[in-house]
Amino acid sequence: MVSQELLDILVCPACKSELDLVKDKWLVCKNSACRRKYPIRDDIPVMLVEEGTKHVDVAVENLQ
Amino acid sequence: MPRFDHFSWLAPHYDRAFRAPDLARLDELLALPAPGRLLDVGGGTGRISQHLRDRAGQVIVLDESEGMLREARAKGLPVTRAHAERLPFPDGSMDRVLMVDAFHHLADAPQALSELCRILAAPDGDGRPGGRLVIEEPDIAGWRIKGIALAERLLGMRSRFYRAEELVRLLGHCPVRVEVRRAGENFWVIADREG
Repeated sequence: MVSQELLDILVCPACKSELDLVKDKWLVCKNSACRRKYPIRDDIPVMLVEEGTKHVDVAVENLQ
Repeated sequence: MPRFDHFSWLAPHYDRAFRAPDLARLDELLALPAPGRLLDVGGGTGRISQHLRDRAGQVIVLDESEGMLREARAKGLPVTRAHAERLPFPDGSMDRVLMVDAFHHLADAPQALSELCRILAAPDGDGRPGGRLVIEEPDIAGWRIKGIALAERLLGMRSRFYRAEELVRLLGHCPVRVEVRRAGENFWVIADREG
């Protein structure tokens, strides 16, 4: 599990907007102009802009 | 072509291969113990953060290398994978930011410094001081460090060693008061966030 304290403070590294935790596995940028989605792998939030950009066009409900 | 990740390869051996951190000096430079949030940038396996977690309110390890972060996770530390040039933290969110032996690996040092200063807490006007950034680097003025720099280049590692004066100059765009200290083969740049 990623600690709640860490989840509370993380923001999008690209636009610095707040994030939504989705399915306990994704951090989704709340900014509708950004829409980057960052995976949490093995309890490590991967907050790399290039990683978030890969999933821009994936609908939130389709995130695996 | 993806770059070879030297750090994931090194991760399982890293803590044994490198010297133990000088904790008394870090305590002094970071003004610890103290409450508040501390970010260890390029903190890798958490070899330093594991000693600091009881000395600050919250310690977070940030690194680019997944392999290194797995080691830090195994120590029970909160971790996140990110670039120092694009930090996933809000403005003014850190009371302390530490970067030990990592600055010379940055892809874009001016951009990283701007980000590191951005996340430092501003003084609150009620007497709470601003956040502090401490950067520890090998001093390239020494011959042994020149040799290490050359070896890292031959291994294909992305390294560019800065002199303390260059680092201070790069911080000129940030709202910080800067101090430099030197001892042995290292220097430390201490930057305190102002207004």
